[in-house]
Amino acid sequence: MDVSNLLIPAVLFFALGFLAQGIKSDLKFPPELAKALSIYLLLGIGLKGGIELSHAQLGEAMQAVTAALVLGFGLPLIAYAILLGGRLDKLNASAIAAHYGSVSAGTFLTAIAYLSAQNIEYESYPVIMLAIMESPAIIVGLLLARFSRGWQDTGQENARENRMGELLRDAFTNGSVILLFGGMLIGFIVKPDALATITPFFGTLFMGALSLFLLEMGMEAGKRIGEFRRVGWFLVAFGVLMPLIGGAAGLLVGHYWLGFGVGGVMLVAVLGASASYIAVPPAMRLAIPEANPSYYLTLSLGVTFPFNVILGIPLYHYLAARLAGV
Amino acid sequence: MLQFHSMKLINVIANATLEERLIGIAEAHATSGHTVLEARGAGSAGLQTGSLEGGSNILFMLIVAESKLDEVMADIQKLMRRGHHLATFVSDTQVLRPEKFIS
Repeated sequence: MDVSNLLIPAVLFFALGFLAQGIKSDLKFPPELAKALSIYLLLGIGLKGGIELSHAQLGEAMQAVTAALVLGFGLPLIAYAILLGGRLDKLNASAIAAHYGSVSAGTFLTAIAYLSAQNIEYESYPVIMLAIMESPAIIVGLLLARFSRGWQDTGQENARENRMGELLRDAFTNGSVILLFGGMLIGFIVKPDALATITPFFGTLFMGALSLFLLEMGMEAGKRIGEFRRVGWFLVAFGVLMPLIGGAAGLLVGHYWLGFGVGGVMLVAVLGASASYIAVPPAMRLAIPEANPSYYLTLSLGVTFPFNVILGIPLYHYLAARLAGV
Repeated sequence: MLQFHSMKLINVIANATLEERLIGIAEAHATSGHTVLEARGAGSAGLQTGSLEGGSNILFMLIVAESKLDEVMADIQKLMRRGHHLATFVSDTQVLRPEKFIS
């Protein structure tokens, strides 16, 4: 592993934000800016995926979609089993498991920046997988929570949280899902000439906007370190262990099942390893209100995200290269 | 001399995802309006920095006649019983035009 590969703007901006928080700088972002940037980034990545999809092979795309569904439905179950093994209560375990089956677009984009900086080619299908993987884990989380509350206890206090139809609608109409799929659809159906008018905004400026977003996320991650004591060391350790398990699953799926090259395999590993901090927390807030948001936000944003950005991405790249025999 | 009228001010600090449900409660009890402010802070749900949707709070404010207080608070209490992390407190307040708060 070559550590100098980490010297790319995206990672350094993240580190800068983390450092600024660590030295108690008075640097502040307007809170709405992070939300605005995440809308922009999700739309941009959706558009890019849609453009790629318009010249993709249908058979290969379907394989990637199936693999994404398997990872999205499977990883939360593994996470749930580990969390229960650590004696976490079932509702908190369900909520955290949903985060780890879903994906982080911020981590994925950092991985793309990492590959681009080294001129490593990658397949376009992982972008589609990113969009697909937003929702399944939310559904698994909802089912696990429903199961935890007991199937009989449906009429009482948790009436709304147990109404599956409504919860499934929430999972599929989630803002991130709409932006990713909406962007993808627009990228897919609009002719390349017509897309040229928005390319400067969504293409040329994209990595600059990502850097701003990562600066802010670095600060957010830094703020969560103080919460480690509250969530306990078992969960902090889980926040490092689970991306390794998810990353290994992604490496195997990317290499053996999908037959991707080094860049593509690494991206599938990143999808398996990352935990959501944009789409899933609000969904869990509504669907599993009993779970403690401090747990899942601290884990996905304060532990797993920095781990993946700093150590995980170069590690998955190294392992993907070893698998490919490069 | 100005004429003041006593009313109750209901404050709810909750995650931004609950905004619609709180508005639903206000509307279900035929209140005449409400105000929502963005809020930051920390509490039993951990740090609420306002940067991400899952970690953004609101302060929901509703002025009602004392006769309506119990029924509105009972619905807010239902949210708490379901496990939602929220803080609610009621204060006495004075207004100049009571008819504005009674629909």
